[in-house]
Amino acid sequence: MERNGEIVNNGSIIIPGGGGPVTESPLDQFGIHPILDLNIGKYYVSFTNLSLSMLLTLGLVLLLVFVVTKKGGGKSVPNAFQSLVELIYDFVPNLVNEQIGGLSGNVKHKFFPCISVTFTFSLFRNPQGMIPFSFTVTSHFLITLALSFSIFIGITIVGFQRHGLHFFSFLLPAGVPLPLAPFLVLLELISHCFRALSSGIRLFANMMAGHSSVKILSGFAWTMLFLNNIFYFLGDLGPLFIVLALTGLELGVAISQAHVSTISICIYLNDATNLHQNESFHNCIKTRSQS
Amino acid sequence: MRFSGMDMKGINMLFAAIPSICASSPKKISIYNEEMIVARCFIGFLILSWKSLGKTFKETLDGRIESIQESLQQFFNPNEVILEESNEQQRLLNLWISLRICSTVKVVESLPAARCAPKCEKTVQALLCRNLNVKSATLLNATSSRRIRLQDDIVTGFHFSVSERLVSGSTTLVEASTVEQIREAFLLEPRDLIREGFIVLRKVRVGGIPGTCGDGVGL
Repeated sequence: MERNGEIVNNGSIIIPGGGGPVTESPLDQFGIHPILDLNIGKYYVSFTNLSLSMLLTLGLVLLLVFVVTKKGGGKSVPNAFQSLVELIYDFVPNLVNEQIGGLSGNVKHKFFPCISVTFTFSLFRNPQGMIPFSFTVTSHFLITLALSFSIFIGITIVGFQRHGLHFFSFLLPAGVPLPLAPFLVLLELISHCFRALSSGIRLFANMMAGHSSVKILSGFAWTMLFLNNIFYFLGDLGPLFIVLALTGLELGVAISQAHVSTISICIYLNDATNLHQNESFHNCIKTRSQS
Repeated sequence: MRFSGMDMKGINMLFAAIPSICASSPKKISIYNEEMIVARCFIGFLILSWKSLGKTFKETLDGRIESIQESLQQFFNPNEVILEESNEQQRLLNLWISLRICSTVKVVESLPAARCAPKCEKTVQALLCRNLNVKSATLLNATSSRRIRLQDDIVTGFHFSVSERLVSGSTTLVEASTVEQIREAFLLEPRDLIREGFIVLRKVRVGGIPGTCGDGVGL
């Protein structure tokens, strides 16, 4: 098949005149393909590469936890592997205690499993997408949006459960002049609702941009290798080093995004439970009421 | 020609890699596209980071394991640990006492007429007086530095307590100047300072500060 002077063969474009196969679109890596076609009634519930990828992550996390807690729990003095898993586990309670104020330890512990699961999922899923020939689940807006929306709804429910209708005072910060109140309520409402979108978009955009740039640069290097020119061949080292550096950067971004999304969940939860009041203000109110 | 263990391992891997590549290529198991570059860069980065950071990472984990081990040991055998510590302290005390004795004897012996005790009495007295003077000077210095630190602590403490109370409401210029006045008032001698502090606090509680246009600070 010929298109604009280029020969297209099985989706890959071949440059006439000795050039090797040019890469497909860098966005092709995000395609979802069914592995097992399944239809239940009207619903299409196929097992796709996305499902496989998530299942692999789940399997990896469960295996890790199982290995370090087999025979009724880990050892008192951990080995390096158990120590690593313990460090990951310990990270979340520290974060929850630091970020969420004005709550007792027991209440914080109620939020811990949800935050911990989100963190573990992001921590294992994001870097796993960097492995070649694998699939990056968090580069799909639907997945990240589902995560962020479910967390947002949960946090709003927690807010209403804790404060009742007084939760609406969250929309009006203290000390605001009355004429400004309607505008501020509107602004606060929009900013509150957009939290759900923003945390989803942040994760999706970071993952997608990073993976695309790695793919584009590696495609560039791959094309240079097949141009039958010694200068291009030697010059290929440049993009190769950039891809190497980008791989490191992307791994860092993948891990830091897990951290960032967990911190933002904690901050939203803190806002919902303390309603625009910081801890010192909370303590001040407490001492005043006592005196 | 003889190969070392590492060379043999490398050669074996090479011989294993060639047939596996030959077998996987026609079956389209290994696809030759830009993903190969990504894969190589990924593996290269992992190897590089393992070589550069692996040791630090291992040391961190080992440090954690050791600290857990030590705390467990202390938890299970507190008596042993305390006994060991007390023994160590006793040993150090004995050593110190013996050193003191030795040094005194040495000083006395090192004097020009050490053996004629009545003659060197004045020299020993002078030496002891000098030591006493040095120690008293050190003590004076320590006392004055302690006093300055105490003064600083009191100023900071009062400043924080007053600002906390003022900031909890709304902060105005008058209140800010009040805080400044209180701070200035604290730059006095400790005795006066404490007195001033109590006066200021009492006034703040009552609702008036001298020199603030009569504005009360409602608490």
